[in-house]
Amino acid sequence: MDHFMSRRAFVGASAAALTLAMGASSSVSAQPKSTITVRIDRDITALDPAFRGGPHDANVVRAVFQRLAALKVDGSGLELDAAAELKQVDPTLIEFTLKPGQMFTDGFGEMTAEDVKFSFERFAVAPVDGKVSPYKADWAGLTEVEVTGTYTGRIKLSAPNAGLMTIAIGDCSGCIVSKKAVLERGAEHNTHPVGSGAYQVASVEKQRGAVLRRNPDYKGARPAFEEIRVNFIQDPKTTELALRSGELDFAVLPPSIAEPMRGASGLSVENYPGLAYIWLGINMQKAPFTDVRVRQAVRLALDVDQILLAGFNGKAPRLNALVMPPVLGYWKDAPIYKRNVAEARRLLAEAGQTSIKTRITILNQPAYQSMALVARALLQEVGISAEVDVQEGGTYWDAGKGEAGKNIDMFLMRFNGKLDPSFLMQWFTSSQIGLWNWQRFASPEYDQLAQQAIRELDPAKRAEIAIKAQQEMDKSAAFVWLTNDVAYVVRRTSVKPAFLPGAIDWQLDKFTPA
Amino acid sequence: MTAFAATRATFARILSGPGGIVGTVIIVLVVGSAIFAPLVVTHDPDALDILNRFSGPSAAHWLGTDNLGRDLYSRLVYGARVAMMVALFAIGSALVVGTLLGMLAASLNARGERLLLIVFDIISSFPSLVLALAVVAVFGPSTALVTAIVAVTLMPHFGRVARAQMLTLRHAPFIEAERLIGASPVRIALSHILPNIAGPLVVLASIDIPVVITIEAGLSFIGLGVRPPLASWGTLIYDGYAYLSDSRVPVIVASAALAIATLGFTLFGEALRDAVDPRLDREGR
Repeated sequence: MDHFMSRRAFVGASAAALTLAMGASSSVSAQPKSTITVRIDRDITALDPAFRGGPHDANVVRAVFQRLAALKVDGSGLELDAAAELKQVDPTLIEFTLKPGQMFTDGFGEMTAEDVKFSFERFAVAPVDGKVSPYKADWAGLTEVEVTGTYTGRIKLSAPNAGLMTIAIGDCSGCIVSKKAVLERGAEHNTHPVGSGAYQVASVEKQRGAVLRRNPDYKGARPAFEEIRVNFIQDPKTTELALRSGELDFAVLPPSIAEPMRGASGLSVENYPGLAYIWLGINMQKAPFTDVRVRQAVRLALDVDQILLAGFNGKAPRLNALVMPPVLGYWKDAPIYKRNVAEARRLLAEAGQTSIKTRITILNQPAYQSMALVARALLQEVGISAEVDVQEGGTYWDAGKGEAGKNIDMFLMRFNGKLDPSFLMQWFTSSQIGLWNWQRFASPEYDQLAQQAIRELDPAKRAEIAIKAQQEMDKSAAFVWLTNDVAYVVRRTSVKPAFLPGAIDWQLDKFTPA
Repeated sequence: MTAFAATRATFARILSGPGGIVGTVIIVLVVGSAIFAPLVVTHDPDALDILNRFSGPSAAHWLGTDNLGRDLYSRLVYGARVAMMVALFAIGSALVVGTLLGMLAASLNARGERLLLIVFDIISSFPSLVLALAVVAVFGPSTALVTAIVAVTLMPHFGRVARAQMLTLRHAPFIEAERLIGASPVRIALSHILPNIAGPLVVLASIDIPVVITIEAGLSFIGLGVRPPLASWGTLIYDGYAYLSDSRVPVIVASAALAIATLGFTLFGEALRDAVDPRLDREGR
């Protein structure tokens, strides 16, 4: 038998093999991906809904836990999730009925009204081990969750809470945990959470992120992807490289990094108005900033447009007060402070301050560094000598808290917002001093307005209250508002993400192949 | 041979090869820039001109401007100053402290010597970057801290060499003669042993300079080195890297400066080693 192949037979066989291989490869590439990778810019801190650290945790929490009702992707309202029925009986009473047969993972049994009671009351009414949630304001006015049956209950409030449905019930603070699992696992529940949502946490690794796997027992719509890797990558430039190399499928990035990726093969870049607020804060309780004239001088010494040009290539809109459009309570007539060196110098002289040495604490991100350096140069011209104190994530986020917070001078800060004025306002009340109110802004008028904004159900009156609150902030001159950011979403064209307006709050369970 | 003549002879030997010449020229340029920085720059290195950011090379800005409109050439020159300052102070203090401790180790009894060697081992076992991460996390980034960290991590190198050299010389006839005429141990160590072991230590110091420059740039690149707005080659590379899509010039220019300076000091260090190493002489190099 002749084992040698003729040249023609070899060419033919090769062509056939190549065709087969190409067919196979195209059929492989045509298959939808079963795993996607998304980027978070801070390391996972706590996946227990009541103690989540921020959106980086919340985006995982939302995929792992169910709520009575969840916000629709466009943020326009709620759709039922764990509840079969959710009824607002009156402004202080909500009744719910759970769908039966919703199981918690890891064998923690079926979800009952007792779990709902435990999940909501632990925020402030009945904290476990005395630990009050930093998000207790979401549940302002809650007095009790009364269990009326295995699947039914009544949420009782002492006063109306205008944001209860969208901020608490429909989002992370409304996530239903397994009472048994939380009590049994304790602090471990932060890394091994037990939910009943579309995904379950397969692993959490420090400095790396989390891996989510589809929950086979989930009773809702089956999520499109078998696995979602939530990777922690702090550096935006590294994120860009990961997106370009195909290691990442989705990320939200600053304009300077995202813009050049337009037109990159296999990637899509879209930008949305931001719901985050970025500002330069001044510690009102630290000399010489205890004098309002010094704070006013700082505000007049700065040129916000120049700062934004340095930090965001001029792509981010200027913010003049706390509430940004389209959130209720947007103060469209908020003063736009223009740089006035002469007036700033006059104010400083009047305050008896001719040469101030201070510090601007910032997170080690290029955009913040650029903004701080511009601020430093502008302040120098009025006689304020500022040192830029660049801090790594862990140190930075503690810089304004507790006792350390008394020593902070100025800082550049970014908070993520939601479509509710009370959510935006809650971080600046007196009770937040030592936590998130790094300005140590203590205004009884503001505190009262913040309370009123929560209780007022009439949108027009609520907007008026929010504007008055912003006027109080403006009077303090402790806030130099910079921008409400712009969200640049970079995604692989094969993945269709789902997120609420502002692209801060993601719904990973609703990500689909494009 | 007088000290001056010996130095001249050493320099002549350094300049006898192409490596030594290139290294010397680079060092003269880098050190000259560092010393005379205020005279040779064209702009204040920290002066911002936001509206003129990422401008290319021009008559006004020889190497263009960075993300904040700062003159890149001026920042590069001041970056050389930071690199040289860190190298000078870090290596200087490591050399002095390491040499004294090494000589002390050689003079102590076996137990004391072992104790000092253990200290050297402990310090050497910490990679400088890990040590820097830990220290900066506690005290925050600063140039002084970078210098101190580098000095501490280099100190055992000098200590070990000084100890080994001193052990070799301790029983040399001229040292024994000094001892017999009643010279004190301190006098013997400082007046007779130290001048004889200085050569290898200086060579080691010169070879360590590029290492220090790289460490300083590396720490500054990852945000653990000098504080902004101070210009360091590492921060220049980092700033350029963050805005790479806007302009490639800052990264290229700062990386080139770092590479050239490192190369120059390496070539010079090798030429110096060859010039002072008597064994190479005997081998008829």
